[in-house]
Amino acid sequence: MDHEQRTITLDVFRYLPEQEEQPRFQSYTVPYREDWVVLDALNHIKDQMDGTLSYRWSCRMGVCGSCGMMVNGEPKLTCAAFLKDYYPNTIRVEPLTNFPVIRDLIINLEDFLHKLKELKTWMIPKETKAVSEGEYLQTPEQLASFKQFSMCINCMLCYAACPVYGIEPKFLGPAAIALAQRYNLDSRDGASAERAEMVASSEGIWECTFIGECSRVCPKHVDPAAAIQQAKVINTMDWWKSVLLPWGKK
Amino acid sequence: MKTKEYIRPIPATWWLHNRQVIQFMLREMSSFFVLGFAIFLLVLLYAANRGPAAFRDFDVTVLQSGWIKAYLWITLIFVGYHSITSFNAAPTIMAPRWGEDKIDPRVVIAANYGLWLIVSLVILIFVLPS
Repeated sequence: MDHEQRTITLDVFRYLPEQEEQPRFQSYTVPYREDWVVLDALNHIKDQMDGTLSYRWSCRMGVCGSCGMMVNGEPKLTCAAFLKDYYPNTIRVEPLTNFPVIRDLIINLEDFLHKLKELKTWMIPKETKAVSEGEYLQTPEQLASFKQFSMCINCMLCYAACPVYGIEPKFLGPAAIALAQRYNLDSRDGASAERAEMVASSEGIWECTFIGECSRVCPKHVDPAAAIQQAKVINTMDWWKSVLLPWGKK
Repeated sequence: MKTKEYIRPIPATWWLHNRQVIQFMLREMSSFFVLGFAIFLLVLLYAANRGPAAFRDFDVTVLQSGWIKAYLWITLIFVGYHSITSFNAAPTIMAPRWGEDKIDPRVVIAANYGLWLIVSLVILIFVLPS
């Protein structure tokens, strides 16, 4: 019964562009429950206290990647950030940093979606087969080489953690490069050369200074920093091959 | 209708807000000390190449100076920090695999330290007898 009497305060970033020029913080005191996550508290605010609060969420189980926010300055999936880890202190909830804010806790993702399209982060088969010819087979070793990078849920926590993206928004960023690398390493894909120009551009892998924050905050252990550094090694080897063996194929 | 978006400013102190980023900035800064030490070694070689008398003079006037000793101690700390953080980052950059499995990052780090030790011992073997 005791837990029903306890409360916790959330300082929530509010920005209503049709009403105010500058954002502000609004405090909400909600019931404290040990099994609640920050997203539960936000849903309580939305349902019981202030229906004007806007934010994205969907699955509530760390799969959809839509509830990413800054929780006490740290990029987190709010469905995985338990109140008990912050209680009894006030929790500060803000939209993910490094992105324009559309409203309250909602950020604009257009830049990322544009980069995904530019990088062609989808399967472009090496050889096309008729359905009657069967599946594109792959060995467990071939799968293991890229599987880790395929776990990305596009939650944008890595972009919020990346100071390079904050300073230089043209940087392709951790998730987009990790996803490009996911397809480049896939034995069934044949478009790494098409992606190479953009991946190896000054706005691509060489913009990354290997701070490693993207991997630290990644809730799915994708390790985008590793994808970028490994892409640097592959790109450098390709460059040396083109210099030393100009007659050979990359 | 598109509403006005709010872009949050990045303060000049952005890199002081997070322990990991401070460590990164120190690693980047340590590169200057690595470069400085490389230049110092070149100057040392140049002095040695001018003959024993000139080198003794260089030793007394430059190498024995308190400033140089202080500089070398600071350099040692930063070069050590640079080496250790680079070794620790090695498994992320290389990530070698054995079949389906990734090789334990500790093995990669240990291999780097092992190589460092071997190279240091080889240099010592060549340098000490003289």
